[in-house]
Amino acid sequence: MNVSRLHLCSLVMLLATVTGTGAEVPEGMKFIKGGTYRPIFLQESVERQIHDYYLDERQVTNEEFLQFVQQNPGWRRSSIPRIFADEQYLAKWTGDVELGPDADPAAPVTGISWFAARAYLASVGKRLPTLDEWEYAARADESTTDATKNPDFSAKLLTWYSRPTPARMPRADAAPADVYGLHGMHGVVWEWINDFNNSMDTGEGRSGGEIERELYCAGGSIALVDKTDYAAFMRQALRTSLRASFTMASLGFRGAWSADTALPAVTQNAEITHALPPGSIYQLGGIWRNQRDEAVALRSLGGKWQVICMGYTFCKAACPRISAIMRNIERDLSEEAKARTAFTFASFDPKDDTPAQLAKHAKESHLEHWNFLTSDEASVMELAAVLGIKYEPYDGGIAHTNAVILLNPAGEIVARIDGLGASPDPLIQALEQQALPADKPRR
Amino acid sequence: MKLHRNRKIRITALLALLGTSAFFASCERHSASGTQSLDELAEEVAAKVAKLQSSQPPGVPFRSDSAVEEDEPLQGEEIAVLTDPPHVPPPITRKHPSRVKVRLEVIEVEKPMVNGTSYTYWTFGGHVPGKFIRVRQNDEVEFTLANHPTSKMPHNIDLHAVTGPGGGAASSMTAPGHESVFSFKALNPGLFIYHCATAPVGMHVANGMYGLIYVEPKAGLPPVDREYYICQGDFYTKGKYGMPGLQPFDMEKALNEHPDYVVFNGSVGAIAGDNALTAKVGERVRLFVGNGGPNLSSSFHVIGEIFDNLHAEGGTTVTHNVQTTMIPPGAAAITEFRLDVPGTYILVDHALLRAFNKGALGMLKVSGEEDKVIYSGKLSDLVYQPEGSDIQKMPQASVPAAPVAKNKDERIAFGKSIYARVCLACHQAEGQGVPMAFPPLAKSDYLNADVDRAIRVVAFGMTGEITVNGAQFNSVMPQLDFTDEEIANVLTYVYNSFGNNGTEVTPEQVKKARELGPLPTTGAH
Repeated sequence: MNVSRLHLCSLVMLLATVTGTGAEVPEGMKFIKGGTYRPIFLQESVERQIHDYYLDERQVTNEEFLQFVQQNPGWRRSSIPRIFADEQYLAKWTGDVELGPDADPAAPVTGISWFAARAYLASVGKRLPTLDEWEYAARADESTTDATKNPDFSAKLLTWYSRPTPARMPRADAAPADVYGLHGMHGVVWEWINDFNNSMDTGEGRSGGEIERELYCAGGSIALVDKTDYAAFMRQALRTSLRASFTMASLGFRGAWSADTALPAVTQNAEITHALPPGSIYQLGGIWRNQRDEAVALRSLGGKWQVICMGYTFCKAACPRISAIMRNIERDLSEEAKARTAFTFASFDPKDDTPAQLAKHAKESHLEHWNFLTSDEASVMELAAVLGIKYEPYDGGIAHTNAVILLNPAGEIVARIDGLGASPDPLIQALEQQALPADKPRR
Repeated sequence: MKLHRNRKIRITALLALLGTSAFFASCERHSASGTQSLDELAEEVAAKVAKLQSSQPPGVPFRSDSAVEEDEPLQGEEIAVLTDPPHVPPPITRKHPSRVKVRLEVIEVEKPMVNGTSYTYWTFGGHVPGKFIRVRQNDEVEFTLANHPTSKMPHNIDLHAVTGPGGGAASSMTAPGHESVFSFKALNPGLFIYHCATAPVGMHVANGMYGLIYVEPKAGLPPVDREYYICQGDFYTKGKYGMPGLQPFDMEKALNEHPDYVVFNGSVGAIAGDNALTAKVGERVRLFVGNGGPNLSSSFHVIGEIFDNLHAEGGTTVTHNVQTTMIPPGAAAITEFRLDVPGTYILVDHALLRAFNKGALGMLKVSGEEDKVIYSGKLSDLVYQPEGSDIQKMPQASVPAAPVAKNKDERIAFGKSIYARVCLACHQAEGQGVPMAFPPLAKSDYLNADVDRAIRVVAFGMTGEITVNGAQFNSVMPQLDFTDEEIANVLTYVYNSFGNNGTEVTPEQVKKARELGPLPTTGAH
């Protein structure tokens, strides 16, 4: 599986879950003619083919987002579950449905999580742009579609990146339009992209011992093609620091649309949010299928302690070792703890990990009593995001964070181990302590 | 042949193990004579090794060897005292390691670089360098890195005191409005730099994201009377030194390693003039000095002092009687000295053009009784004069296009900014000068007596002996590459400040005085 194929495949999978595509191009969007571009974020300097698509001519504004939360109470500040947005969500607003003096109706809405941006865009028939779509268009200045070699252009961007966020944002359409007619791709706020969690290689997935190289000194520069494109460096650093629930005073979003796609917001399940703790990953919607080809909602995993990992069955390197860690946990648990615990393997690979393939894999591994799950790309993306797992197509496979995570019966993350060499003891201890009678002290 | 080679390897290994000069000397002798067989040499070496091993330890152990031996149990929990530069948290007197909580907040702030010029600094705690962190060896540090919600960038921290990949950076990547927690055990004692390591790391460091953490050894340091915290850094701005306004970072200059500013503690004059460090005669002073870089090494020197003790590179070994210590970027040193003579001691990067033209100049003002035996006080200047008797041209003064003053008030206002940028480092904030080095401008008889002379001093510089308010000075006033307008403004400011006679100097007057040419050199030099 090569890079471009997986991207294409993600689009196909999304299409499969969407009804009513082929609608008119939504208003307020600009056409971006596709072409080739060379992302700086990859170790291999591959040219990517970009299809034709549309982008919103400006960021989504406070006023527009206000309408959305008026119609969708589940996304208001006071009711949104923490798993979907942190405490700073819409922090500039004075109330659930009040903008107040610091949030100009025409200014870009900020303090928005990735989940909230996706949910908003789904409600208007759009989706977040991909990394490639955003970066491809962001090369433009007022006169050309690719100004990245112009030193004045990068100097201007750097100057903006250097300044702290102003207390009050300017209007979203205040900046002069670029050659496509897009306002404020740079200079107003950062913008969410859909695949922020898939855009850097995480190192660990391939060799097991490597640390996340983008996170520390000089690490980032190893992976970049154009080491002088500091502006792109900084966008990448920012994306690396984000989690799907994070919000920032300088982070907004705009919509994208292309003829073949419109993303479903898997998270829109307002009716389930009340019964669950705000940090439960079972707040996620999405339909998964297990190795018996039965439809599974994540929340059906609840009620038991879950030891969960993500991988793909064709993985020959890390995933068998993650499975081995989980096997060892199962082997070392007391009978009492074992009875409370289930084991789940969720696949990154919707294309190749069909229920039949999962069944074959479970049988060959003698793990038929575990849950093996597969779903569509959007559900995979959201589950990985809430579990804090990054993944990226790489060299015919998928590079990913190696983590084994323990969920309590309500679906909250209570412990995790990272890395293939890590000791499983913290998880075992947590499970054994939970197996104690209720009057014994817990951890 | 095979046998011989093995023996040779054995001998080499033994020599490497010992590494004493005595052995090298003896080997040289043997090889020179060429009469001794390898077998004999091997036996002799083996005998000496056996003797040495019985009389002294085989070598300095690695840190981990000794840590295993003397593992200390953790006792108690405390919140670390953090200080802004130039202050240092109090010494740690605990006899045991503790769990220590450190909370550091990253905030992006706009602050003056030099009077009239500002810069957007990215800081660990609001200042450059960041907060000083002081812990004890074997402390377990729970580190919280918070990134202020107004920050534009994500940040993290790489502490050189941390043992582990990335020095904490991999565990502390933090988006604006969030905080990360990680912990580490301070295994090695010493003075360490910490810095942001978010890509592009050079830019984060160039914007001021560094500071010092001191891991106090178990036995602590000998007590001193004062401790100060200094970090050198180089800055790269779009406009040249002194160009007014908010100056953005210049990537090109940073890549070429051509800084506009090289400063102590983040800005020109941060530890000079009114902000000078202070001490008293008879006190022992300890300076914790780091270099954040990102590019330039510092030749750190205190003019008129000698480091009695120096922990070079921030490590354990102490050397003595050192004049200048090299501190590369990402490193630190501890210097200690006793103050015997009052006066102002100038701290410099002894790559002197940085000190005098780019800002790497600080001051330690020492008050107290004079000791004429140690220092006679007889006229000589305390300041090293790099340019000898030649006139030093300071091109930076001409860079900003000076605004044209419409009246005396504007002239004073514009002149004030020039004064702060160019003159203040020597003549001081209140025009008081530096005794025995730089003449006072405050209530200055020399200045008030002759306006044309004052103009010519500024326009052409001046060398040699002069008497101001009864005190003699023998220094170099550099030639300042000012326009007539700028000279008029700065002199008008000086004449209307510090108790002087209120003269207004006009550009026309400057033009006429210039025609008189430079002043003759006075006295012997």
